[in-house]
Amino acid sequence: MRTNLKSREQFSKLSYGVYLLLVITLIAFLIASGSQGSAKGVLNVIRQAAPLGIVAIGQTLILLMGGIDLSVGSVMTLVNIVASSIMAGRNDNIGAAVVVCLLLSAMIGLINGLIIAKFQMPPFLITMAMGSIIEGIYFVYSKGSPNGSIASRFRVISDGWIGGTFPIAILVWLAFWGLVSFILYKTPYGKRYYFTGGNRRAAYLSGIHTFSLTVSAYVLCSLMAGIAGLMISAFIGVASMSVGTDYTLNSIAATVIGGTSFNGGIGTLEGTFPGVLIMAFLQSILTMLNISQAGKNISQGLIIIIMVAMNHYKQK
Amino acid sequence: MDKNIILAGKHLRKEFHGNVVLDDVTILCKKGVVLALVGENGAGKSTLMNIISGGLQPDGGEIEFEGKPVKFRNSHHALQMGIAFVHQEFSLFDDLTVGENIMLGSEPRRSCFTDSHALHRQAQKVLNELDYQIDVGRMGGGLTPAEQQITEIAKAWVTRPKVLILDEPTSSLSKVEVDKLFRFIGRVKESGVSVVLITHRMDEIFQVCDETIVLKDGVMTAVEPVGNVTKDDLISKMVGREVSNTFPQRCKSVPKDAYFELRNVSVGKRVQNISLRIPKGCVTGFGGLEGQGQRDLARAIFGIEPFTSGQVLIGGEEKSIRTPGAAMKAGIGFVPDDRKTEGLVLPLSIEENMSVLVLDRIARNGILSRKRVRAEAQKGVDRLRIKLSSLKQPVVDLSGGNQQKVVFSKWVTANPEILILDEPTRGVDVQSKLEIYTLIRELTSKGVCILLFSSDMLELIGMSDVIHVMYEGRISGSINGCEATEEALMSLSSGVSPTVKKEG
Repeated sequence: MRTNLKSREQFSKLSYGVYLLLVITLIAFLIASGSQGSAKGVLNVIRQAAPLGIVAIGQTLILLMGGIDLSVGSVMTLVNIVASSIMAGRNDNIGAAVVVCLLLSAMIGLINGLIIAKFQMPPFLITMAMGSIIEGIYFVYSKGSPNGSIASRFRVISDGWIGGTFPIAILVWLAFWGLVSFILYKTPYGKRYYFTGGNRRAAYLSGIHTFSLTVSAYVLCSLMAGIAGLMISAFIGVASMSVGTDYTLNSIAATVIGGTSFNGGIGTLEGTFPGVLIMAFLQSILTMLNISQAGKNISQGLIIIIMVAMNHYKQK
Repeated sequence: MDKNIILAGKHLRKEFHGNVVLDDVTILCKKGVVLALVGENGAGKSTLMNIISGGLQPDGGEIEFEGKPVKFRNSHHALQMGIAFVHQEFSLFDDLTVGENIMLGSEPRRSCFTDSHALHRQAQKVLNELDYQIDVGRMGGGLTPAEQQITEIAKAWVTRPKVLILDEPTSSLSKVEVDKLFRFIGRVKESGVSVVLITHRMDEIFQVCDETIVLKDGVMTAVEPVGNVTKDDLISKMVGREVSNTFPQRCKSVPKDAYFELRNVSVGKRVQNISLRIPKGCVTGFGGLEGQGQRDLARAIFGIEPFTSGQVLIGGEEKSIRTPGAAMKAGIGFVPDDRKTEGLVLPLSIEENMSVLVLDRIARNGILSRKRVRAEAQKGVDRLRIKLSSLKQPVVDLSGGNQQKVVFSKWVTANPEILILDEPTRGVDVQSKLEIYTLIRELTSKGVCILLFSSDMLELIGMSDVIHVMYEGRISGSINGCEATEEALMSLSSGVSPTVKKEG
């Protein structure tokens, strides 16, 4: 019986540790908020985590496939600046802005993917360079001081509450989470992410087109970053030069906290979801406790190390 | 004690995971004597050489150096004592010059800096001794295999060893280069060095060696001065195991019309102008010594490194196969020889590994159901009775034999018309072997065309309907499976007998 239990846990891909940690942070959050603690407070934190949640979905796909994308933060900022300038506060321009932003994101992903797959370049360096190039482009585009603003109707996707009780942003996040999970687990295409990330050579020798899979993964990831960029734009309502900066590393952190291996082939979206929430609650707790930015950075770093160590031990 | 004996390994014994690979082997390396070490693939030659050069520790027996017992800590220790081993695999650094490669570890210094001029001058001197011209300033990465081989030998010789061990040094050399090397060995021998030469080529033994040791399955079957033996003696001592009844009955009638055809196919210089007509429903074996182009042929058929010229026909239709994906579309399957790096995705489960090839077939309207994936995987597991605790178990936890069964079974699941097997039973226990053989027979009776690439001669003889032996990228002869003997295969493999028997 004991061995049975052990083996069952061993074979499960999902790390239960991350849910345990989520419960702990949630309790800590409720304690820290004291008398103001409420369901609404919790939902509000989750609502604000939606952009990170969406970009982390893309990052999970990339890590599973055996890559990494360091350009997602820049894509988010670019989308924020472009969306603000196209919308210029007018509801009529929402459609055009969304289309342009998503096309831009997809194009960036396509370039990333093609360079990495075609020339067998290390994704770390290529996407880092791409991030830097995008930064340069939006500096030029905005001449250093971005203007325009997000149309009021569009802001509903991040600010709206259905009947005043449930945030729309969480629904958007859950919708994308469900959609990508379905693709990842229920289609041959999604399954091939695991094979390619787990052993690219064996995947290739099993007839998997690792080239097109790699390219499409970067396109998907970049699209997710674009969507997250739209979400964050809807949140802040204006253009900002640095809105996406933290999201690059935070999306990677949330993904690895959720149990996805840095070497590819191992990981789940059900792990990344609580990974994102843990980071979000941790941030709020520390803010509520008036802990400085330094303290936030240190505790976030510790959480990453602990979770990665746990996952590593489990995968041994 | 014989003063002439420099290095002696006595009653050496070595086991790997309970497999005895060397048993009571005694080797004496004498001053000024060239010793030939011969034996089949896997007979234990490399293990023996690794033991006497410090690369491996023996499980039994002792080593004496100049009459005193020694225990080598590692190969570096042995090298310092004067035992240099030139391995079959090259270990040169691509980004160092030939000179730097040769002088690695014995660089001349000027205060604390390497003296590059002196280094290259000394390297040049060593190459001159070998009577071989390579520009010492060239980069290791740009060398031909022959130049790499010579550089490796120079690198060993620069340490002025008392015992020089060469593992198949001639396999990448041309005739002229071989003659130069042998003249070098002659000079080295004159100067009192003991040379051990591992070789598969019978002619070389009689050309340059003084004594021979024959190994078979880890046991010494002969130690003779070269003058006392003939080629046939040696071959018969290397082989001669009983073909036991581990092999299931071969099918009675073999269809004659070709299904799979190769016309004048080549892969660079490694496979040269091979033409074959292969019928359905039989096992076509490919044998020969290691590195004679079999691996390249297998890989080219599957589109991994495609043929550089020639035509491939399947069912009379010409096919262009440039990727594994294209090969699979044409109905070809490939069980690679290295299951860990090429056959399996180790961190994934048995279920996932088993279904990778047939995901599209299992999916309904593009959607996978757990149940159908599991059912397909279960079928694969039952087919070869793979021992597991759960279909969700990662394949990395399985034993080697069971891992190999997973790779094999996953390819059977894909229903290929042509199935390439590259060393399908390497490192697999006897019981698993038998099950794999039985499955091969089942497949052929269903009309699958099996291409069996194996270095195990008994396996080839026991399983194949026709065996093609490769030598230096060409087919040196073809033998009917029922008539094949180890002696005949060994002769063709060593390039001894130029007579090509027509399959009948």
